[in-house]
Parts: sequence; C-alpha cells; structure tokens
Amino acid sequence: MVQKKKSPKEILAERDKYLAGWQRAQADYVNLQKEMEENRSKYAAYAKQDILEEILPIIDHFEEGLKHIPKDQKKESWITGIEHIKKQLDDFCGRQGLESFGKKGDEFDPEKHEALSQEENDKMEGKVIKVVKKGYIRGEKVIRPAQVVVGSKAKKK
Amino acid sequence: MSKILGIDLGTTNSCMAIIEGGQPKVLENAEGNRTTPSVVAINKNGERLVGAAAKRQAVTNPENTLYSIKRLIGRRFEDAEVQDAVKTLPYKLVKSGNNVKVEMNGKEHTPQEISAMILAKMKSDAESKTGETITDAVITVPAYFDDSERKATKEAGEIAGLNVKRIINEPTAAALAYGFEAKKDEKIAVYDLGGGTFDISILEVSEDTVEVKATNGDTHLGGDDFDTEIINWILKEFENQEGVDLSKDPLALQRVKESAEKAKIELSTAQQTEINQPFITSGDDGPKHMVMTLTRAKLEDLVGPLVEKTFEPLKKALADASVEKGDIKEIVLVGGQTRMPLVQQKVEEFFGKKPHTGVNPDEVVAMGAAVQAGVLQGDVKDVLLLDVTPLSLGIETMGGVMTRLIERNATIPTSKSQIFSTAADNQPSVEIKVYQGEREMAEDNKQLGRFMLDGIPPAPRGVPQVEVTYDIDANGILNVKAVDKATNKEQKITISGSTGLSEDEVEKMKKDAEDHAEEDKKKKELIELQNLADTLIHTTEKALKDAGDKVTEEERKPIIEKMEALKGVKDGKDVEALKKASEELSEEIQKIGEKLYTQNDDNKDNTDQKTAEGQGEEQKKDEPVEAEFTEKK
Repeated sequence: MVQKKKSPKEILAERDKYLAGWQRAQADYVNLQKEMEENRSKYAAYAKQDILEEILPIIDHFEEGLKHIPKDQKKESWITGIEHIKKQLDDFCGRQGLESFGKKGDEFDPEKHEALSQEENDKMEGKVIKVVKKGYIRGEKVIRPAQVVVGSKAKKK
Repeated sequence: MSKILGIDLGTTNSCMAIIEGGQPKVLENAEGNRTTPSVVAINKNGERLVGAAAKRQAVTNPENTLYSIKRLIGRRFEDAEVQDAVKTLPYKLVKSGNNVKVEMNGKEHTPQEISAMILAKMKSDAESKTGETITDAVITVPAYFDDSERKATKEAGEIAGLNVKRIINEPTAAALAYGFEAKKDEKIAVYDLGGGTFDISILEVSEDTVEVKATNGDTHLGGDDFDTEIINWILKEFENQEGVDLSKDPLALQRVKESAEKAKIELSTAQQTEINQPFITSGDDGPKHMVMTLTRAKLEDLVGPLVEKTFEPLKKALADASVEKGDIKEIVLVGGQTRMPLVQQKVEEFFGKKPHTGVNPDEVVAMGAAVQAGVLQGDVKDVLLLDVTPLSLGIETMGGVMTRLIERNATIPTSKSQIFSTAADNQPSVEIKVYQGEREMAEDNKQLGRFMLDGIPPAPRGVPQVEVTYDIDANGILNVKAVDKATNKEQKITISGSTGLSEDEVEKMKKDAEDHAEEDKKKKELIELQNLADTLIHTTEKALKDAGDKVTEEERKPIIEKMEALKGVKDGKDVEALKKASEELSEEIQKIGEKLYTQNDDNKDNTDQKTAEGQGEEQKKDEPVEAEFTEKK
C-alpha cells in the first residue's frame, strides 16, 4: 500500500486548519481563565446565600418563640436579654444585606409573596391579611418570598 | 449563527440549556433559578404571570392558573387523560371540535398557546442571560407522545417565536447527555422518576440512531407521593405525641410539608435527620413543639412500596422490547426522586449494575437537548474531541507501591513530572517500571514497560534527584523520561497504545480496583509504615555513628534496644506493633537529637549540622520521594 502524497495546497489548508484550531484553543483557555475568575466570585456569593437561606427558618422560629412570652413576664430582665440576642441576629442579617419584608395590608404581589390560602375579607381584597413567614430580599433578589394569607371578596350569600 | 436552545418542557417544571465551549450548560431564568415551574396565570389586573410568580398566586386565583398543561397538549377531548383532567384540574376545560381548549380570564386558549407562554419566557430569559437573540430550539417530549402531541409541541414553540429544529424524546436526550450516542449496538434503560410521573424507556443505539424500543410508566407516581407518605407519618407521630391533629390546620400543614421535603432531601446523604418545628401549634396548655427524628431506615420503610411499584412497568417495558435485563448495558437515572439512595439501590439490584448518576437528574434532559442542539449547530462536531486517559499511569516505588503521575480521566495531551530518589546508599542505577491501573500495589496493575537509568554518582540514599516525566500526546502515546539531575544523564521509553485498552478491559480494571479498595488501602498503609520504619532505622544508625562519643553508652543502650525491637517487627504484618515500635524509637532518638542540636549550637560544627538536618522524620512535599530503585547487577 502506498500512502497518497498530499498536494502543497492540501498541506497549506491543513496547516491553516490546525493553526486556527490551536489559536482557538489558546483563546478558549484564556477565556476560561477569565470566566473562572468571574465564577469564583459568583460562587462565593452563592455559597453565602446558601448559608443565609439556612439561617432564615431559625430566625422564623426565634420570632415565633418571642411571640409566646407570657404577658406577665414580658418586662423581666432575662426576656430583655433574649431580645438583645435577637437584635444581634437581626444586625447580622442587616450586615449581610438581607432585608425582611411583608406586613399586613401590603398589596399581594406574586413576585414577592407566596399565597398559602385566602380568606374572605371585603375590605382587604387582594391585600395581605396575615404574614405567616416574612420574606427576605438581598439586593434585587428575592431570597425567600413571604408566605401570606390573602384577602378575597366575600361570596354573596 | 445564534445558539440553539435546548428545552425540557416538563409537566411541572421546565429547564433549558445551551452548548458553551462544546459542553452543555444549564441557563438560569430571570429569577436566578435553574428550573421554571410550568405554570401560567392571568391575575386580577389582567397581567400575565409565568413560572414561580404564577405558582405563588395559585390559591388566590385557581380558575385562572394553568398547570399540568402537558397532560393536555395535542390530545382529543374524549381521551381518558383529558376526561380525568376535567375532573381534577381547578381550571375550565372546553371542547373545541375534537380538541381541547382551556379557559383563562374568560378567554379560550389552546394548550399550545399556554405552553408557548412558558417557552416565550424561557426564550426571553435565555436571551438576557446570553446576550444573544435566540431563534432556534430543540424541545423534548415523552417517548410515548404520538404524532399529534409532538406536532402540538412544535406549534407551541413556533407560537413562542422559536424555530423548532427538532423534537426529541426525553430518554434519548438523557442518553445524549451522557454521551451514549457513541455506544454502538448497546441497549440502555432510562429510569425517570420525577415529581408526578414515572417513565421507563428502553433504548437501542445503532449506527446513527437512538431508537426507543419500548416505554412504560405510571402517569401518577412520583416524588409528590413520597412526600405525602412522610407528611402522613409526621402527622400521625405528632398526634401520638401531643394528641393534636394538624391536618386540619392549613398553616401548620404547610410547615409540615416543608419539613417533610427537607427531611427527604437530607436523608439522601444522612442516616437520620431531625424534624424540628417549634411552636407549630398552640393548645390549651400553651405552645406545642414538633421535634422528632426520622431515620433513613424508617423513610425506606415508608416509601419502599412506592419504589417497588416502579418495577412492574419496568418489567413490562423489557418484555415489550424483547430485552433481558442482563442485556442492558447502561442505566440512566432522570428526575429528582432518583437521588434517593433507596431508588438507586433497588435499580442496581434489579439490573445487577450501577446506574449512572453523574449528571444532575433534574437537568439531564435539558442538557441532552442542548447536546442535540450543539450537533445541529455544528458546535459539538467542530470542537476538537479531547480524549481522556481511561486509567491512571504511574511508577512503582519503594515497597511495590503504585505512585500515580497521571490520574485517570485526565484530559490529554498532558504531561507531569515528579522527582524521585534512591532507596539505598551508593545506589548506581534506578529501574523505572511504568504501570497503568487503579490498584494501590503496582504488581496488581498492568505493566506497560520498564527501563534502567544508570551512572548515578555514589551518594547516600535519598540524595540523588531523578526527575521522571510522563507525557501523553493527543494520540495517547506515552513518553516516559528519567533524568538524573546531577549528571543530566537521561533515559526514556515510548509506549504506544497506552489508551488502547478495550472498554471491557478498562471496566474490568476499574471494577477490580473498586473490589479491592479496602484491602489495597490496608496493604499500602502497611508498606508505608514499613518504609517509614526503614527510614527511621537508617537515620538512627547514621545518627549514632555520626554522633561518635558525644552520645554515651548509657544513652545509646535504650535507643539500640528500641531499634532492635523495630527491626524485629518491621517485616511483619502487625500494623499496631509496627506503629508502636516506630513511635517508641522515634521518641527515644529525639532525646539524643535534642542533645545533638544543643551541642552543635555550641561548637558550630558544620558537618554535624548537615547530618542533623537529614534526620527529619517527615519529609516535606517538595523533597524527593523515595522510590524503589533497587540496585540491579
């Protein structure tokens, strides 16, 4: 078997193809490095968000707990101490750029609110009548929508 | 040419991916999520909502919130599935000719139009993500979709402004995501357990096609049923503990649902998890807390019957395809529920081989759609196909240990160097033995070649530096070179066909390594300890000799005793005895080591200083690694 000789034209074409491929590979690599750098900071932000998301239920439960303090004990100093701890937690969230939102009377907005149920209430139609869980926003991103109960028009009897 | 978008248009969630740099990559939607709920709604202000926002307002607006539209697309109104939907879906379905339409905000829409709204959101989110105009798409459909359902899906794409380049089967896409289109004449099973549906497909890959041989499933079995089992267990458990039935309290039930889902996810990696929902409700005697432990064993107990339910359709599909389960070469898992270890384990038990789990099961179909898109736009073909080494390549070092230079799955061409040294004093030559494989001991791997590097000038062991370089070129040809850094003398060998193993051989070698992993680890540990003991004895002897009369007979005695003790156990197999004897000797030698140092500081004896330096027990990383370059005569 004899190997067919390539014409100079073919060899040149092949060279151009390989050169282009090599240049592309070099460029791809440089681009990849840039992208990796970008991704690194993005992932760091992601990782932070992950942790923040895990803290939110703990804050919910803390707040729920504070609501259950018997009236006659509210002024006691150990309760005040616990409230200070709560404040530290809130300050921490503030420093991380977390802002809570959602209160009674807000206009229901599915971009920010998750409706768990609705209750008949003519005056509050389309409005939040109860916040079950506060929502959190960080920068422009809704980290967690607020879980709410929405008012609806009373059905005619 | 603009990118072609790969879209997995799902019943409950949809996902999209593109090819970037030859690899499929999932695109996040505008909200930053990797999947988009397949839900469309029109709210009271007449605004159209798609995705998460539509889902979140569903309870306030059930008659104008459309979901599960995939169950209706391309179907006739009389179809059983549609009749079923009429009864269960909260929005209105109307008959239009033979077909079905849905009502939203008083207006009738075809299912295509609704699916188009989802596709349009994905198109626009993809455009803002990539900064390119997207005009073309590949959309996936279930393998059992008939012509009319496929045509309707294509129409949906066109309404959304997408030129649908191809409609492909979901199981085929999953196989593409794993690159199985290259597996000629193989049979593949795709096990898809999603949120609400179960599908099993048997595929056959031939010269240029992937054919669906049979498909089966259960349109009402999925992860949601698993959640329900857990929720019911929690409710019952809580009722037993506290005597309160939470199922009537929608807000408490919401919390139970969330914790059930969280527990399920956590139990995929942990053996047990705590369900902790303080203040879940209030009784006459104050607040009540839900705190209970769910173990993986209990969870598997609860959902075991659901997993078993998937095997009936699976057996039917095999029978329909006239395929024995032993003929199935690859098993692909799709759908979030397949992350559950029990599901993976049962599937493995059934087929007698491990299913593939490398690609995120929620995204694997969209990834496959992107792969198909890449083939269509020529991206995948154009990209230089980079091969990988199927098995690790390494060198035999002291005690017969396999020291890897190039790890398996390294993309080639690649090259790695490491510096080795001699194992004995005045060793004139080293032998380089090149091995391939995953076992810890060199002799259990495949020897590819060997050569000698001689002419090493006389020197104490550990001093000569021999740089060994492994280089694999794009054709898989391995060049091994050894250079003595002192004399620059070099020796090399070229091994072609280092990647030329058949797939069965590679698999066998990998499996071998897995099977022997434990015992190999122990063996390697023992040898490493023996090597360490050997070094320790050597340095001790040297230190005593160098110290001369600085160390008294009295001080020598316990050291020599301990050293003899270590020599006694050194070649045995008792790891504990070896460890103990090494530690004892090392403690003893440190005593005089301190003495040597302090004395050296006093008289600044340079030669002694050098010796002391060489006595470090642990070697730093960049220092030469001792290799078994035994003397050959």
